[in-house]
Amino acid sequence: MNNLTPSRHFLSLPRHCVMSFDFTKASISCVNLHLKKALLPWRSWVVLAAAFLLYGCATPKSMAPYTLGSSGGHVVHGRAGDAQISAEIVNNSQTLRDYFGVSSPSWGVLTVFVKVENTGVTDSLLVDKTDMQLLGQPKPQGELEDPLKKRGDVLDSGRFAKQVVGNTIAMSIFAGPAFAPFAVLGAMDAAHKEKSSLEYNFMRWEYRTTTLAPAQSMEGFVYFGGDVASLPANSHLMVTVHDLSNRSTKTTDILLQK
Amino acid sequence: MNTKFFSISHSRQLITLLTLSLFTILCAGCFTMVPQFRESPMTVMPQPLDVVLLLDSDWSNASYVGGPFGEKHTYLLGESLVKYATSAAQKSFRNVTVLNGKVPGTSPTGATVILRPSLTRVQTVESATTGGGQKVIFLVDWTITSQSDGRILWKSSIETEGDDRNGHGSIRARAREAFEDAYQQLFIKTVTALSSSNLGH
Repeated sequence: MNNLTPSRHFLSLPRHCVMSFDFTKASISCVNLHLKKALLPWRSWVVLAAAFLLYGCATPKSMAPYTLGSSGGHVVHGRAGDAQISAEIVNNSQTLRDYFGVSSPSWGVLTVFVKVENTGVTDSLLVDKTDMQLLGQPKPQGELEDPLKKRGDVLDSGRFAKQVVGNTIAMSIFAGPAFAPFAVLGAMDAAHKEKSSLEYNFMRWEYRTTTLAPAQSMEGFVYFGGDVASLPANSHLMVTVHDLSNRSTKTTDILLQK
Repeated sequence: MNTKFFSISHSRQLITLLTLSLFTILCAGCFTMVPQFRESPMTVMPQPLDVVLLLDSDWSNASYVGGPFGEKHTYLLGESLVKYATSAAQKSFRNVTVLNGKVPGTSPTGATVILRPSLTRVQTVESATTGGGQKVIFLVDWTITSQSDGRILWKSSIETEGDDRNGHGSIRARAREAFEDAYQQLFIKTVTALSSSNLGH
């Protein structure tokens, strides 16, 4: 300990700390040094506090409900009995970022906005989300995708690693190497908050299966596996409509346009 | 020698300090909670229909585990979900028989329809800063099927969002408030939806 000369400036680490190959010992020595000097320099506390506050910034963005065609995609229509069905592939990067927090349209989930209207006057209709299918794509890409699981995979990969590395370096430089674990924890916490925020968005904007009385409508996003780039030109959205009053079932195929 | 001894001692103290700090961050927030359902006052005309409310084990034993990395926030939801479903069904239909388990071969009460809730998703969201609020989102599918042939007569996904309106207190207190708010909203939405299903007319 005696060979450790207190640094005049807390940001310049003592030589022992830098040269040591034993990270734990070096960290402890550095912290000892800082503690001896002034428990912890005030700037360390500021950095720590700022870091923890910034880590939490994952609030779901307040957005008005999406309206058909508002992102500039091709809106296509189909009909099955009294049901008027409209669909649009939502591929606009800004829209995806605003509604889901996903910056790239090619992340493995194809988002299709669907609107179903009961234009009849007597019968109730049911369009179950689980009855919708994307035809023209090899399975399982054409089947419904659970974006919550998919997003979890994305979050666990490179982005999280980059955040951990960046935060650890920043924390080591400004607050001392001993605080690197806090940076890792902070990054983990931030990733968790971001994930829960995204999951929340996916649930919030999802198409809800609902029995539609005459003149009622339902709209929302349906998620399929795959992405727009690999979507064949002849892809169809197959929608099954159950007429609950006369016990009939009708199906329609709508040709989607990128 | 003494210097070395004190040096080690200090090191140990620091290790203890860091360990305790990490432990505090990792585990101090762990908890298990049973958010309570309280029926909201509502005046609706029950539909003139005898129904069997079927609650399976997934519903009765539902739970949700959330919380940041290292923290385990366990919410035991089953008890309150059973109360919510029973209250909502009793509010919406004339006569309700509650059954646990599988679909009965024949209705014990002569009821013609089976009412079944299913918890599709639960999600908690923590807001921006440590002083921010908590949100809970519930997605519950309600299906009414014919007792005789299992045909779907009515189905609706009911989504609700609860939050801690005050935004005060510990994470635990705020989470409890958010869940209980979500239950109340869910109850109101469910009764409104079931009452408008028009099956008894």
